[in-house]
Amino acid sequence: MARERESDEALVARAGRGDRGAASILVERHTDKIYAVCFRMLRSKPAAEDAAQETFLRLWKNASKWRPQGAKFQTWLYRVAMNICLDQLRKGKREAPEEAAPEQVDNGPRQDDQLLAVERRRAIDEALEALPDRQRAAISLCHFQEMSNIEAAKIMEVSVDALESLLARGRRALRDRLAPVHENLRGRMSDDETAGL
Amino acid sequence: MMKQQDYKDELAAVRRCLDAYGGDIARWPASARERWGELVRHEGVGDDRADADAIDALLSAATAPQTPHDLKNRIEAGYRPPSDKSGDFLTGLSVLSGWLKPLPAGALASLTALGFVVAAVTGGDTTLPPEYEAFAYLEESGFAVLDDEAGALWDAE
Repeated sequence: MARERESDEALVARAGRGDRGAASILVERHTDKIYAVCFRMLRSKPAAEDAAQETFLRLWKNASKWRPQGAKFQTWLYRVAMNICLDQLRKGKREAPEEAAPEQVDNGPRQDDQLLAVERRRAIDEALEALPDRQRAAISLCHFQEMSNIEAAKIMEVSVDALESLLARGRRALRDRLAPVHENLRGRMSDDETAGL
Repeated sequence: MMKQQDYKDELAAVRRCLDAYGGDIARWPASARERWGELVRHEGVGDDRADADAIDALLSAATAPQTPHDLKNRIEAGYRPPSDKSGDFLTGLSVLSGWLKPLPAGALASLTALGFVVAAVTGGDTTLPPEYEAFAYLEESGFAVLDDEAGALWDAE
């Protein structure tokens, strides 16, 4: 139980000394988050898996040299992951984005709603993918990973002002691209409100 | 009473937060939340908030990544405990002594002399070949190494 509360920095130090149990806790704590951010950047499961594995390989390689100075461990780990993703995107290694698996749609009265939801999700995924890499990175870290603006800015090695600019531009681009879905959503919200009256 | 210009500035700041962080003020930085959180319901930013809420809703509907069930196992399997350098050195020495043991004293003396000759010919040339110079940074402190690994790969936009 006490080990679960151990700081990441202490665990890295122990993993660097050959403690497999410490490495295991780090994997348990961070894999989901690292995979999520890699997936949102690369939009491909195999590429995201490779990037997550590469991130941890770099951690294992450097764990014995770890000195907890300056940045938090998590900030460093995300930065490594993000740079691996950007490197892959830059080299054009990204595989074709995955087609979302066909979702099961019931034949009930809400079939139209379900189809609409599937189409909307696809449109949103495509709009996110179409964003410039840095804008997508900013939205991934702040919105999906729920990081503070300061931590996200550190990971991206930009100022907080620059991060806010990336976020705002990214969200505006999403709004413009998703205008049809956007209007649809508002329409549905109005209908729901009307139905509730 | 707040001056008109100050008021406009405050609303402009609220719009900037809505633009960047969305309509849920729980996602705003604490300082912005404290300072402008109440103004978010002001009618002067009503449209901006509606937009921000709608974009938040769209983002929430994006596909959520599911970690493959065996990924953690694969990552754990990639862990290699650091090798014990002194152990490696001692192991190497014992192997070397095992090889040399059957040699007669004369042969050992010849090998030693050959070693001196090689050292004399190449003496003073301590420059590392380029492929090893790349590792010179390992002499630096650990965190610097880690930062180098992370690298600054962002493109100027």
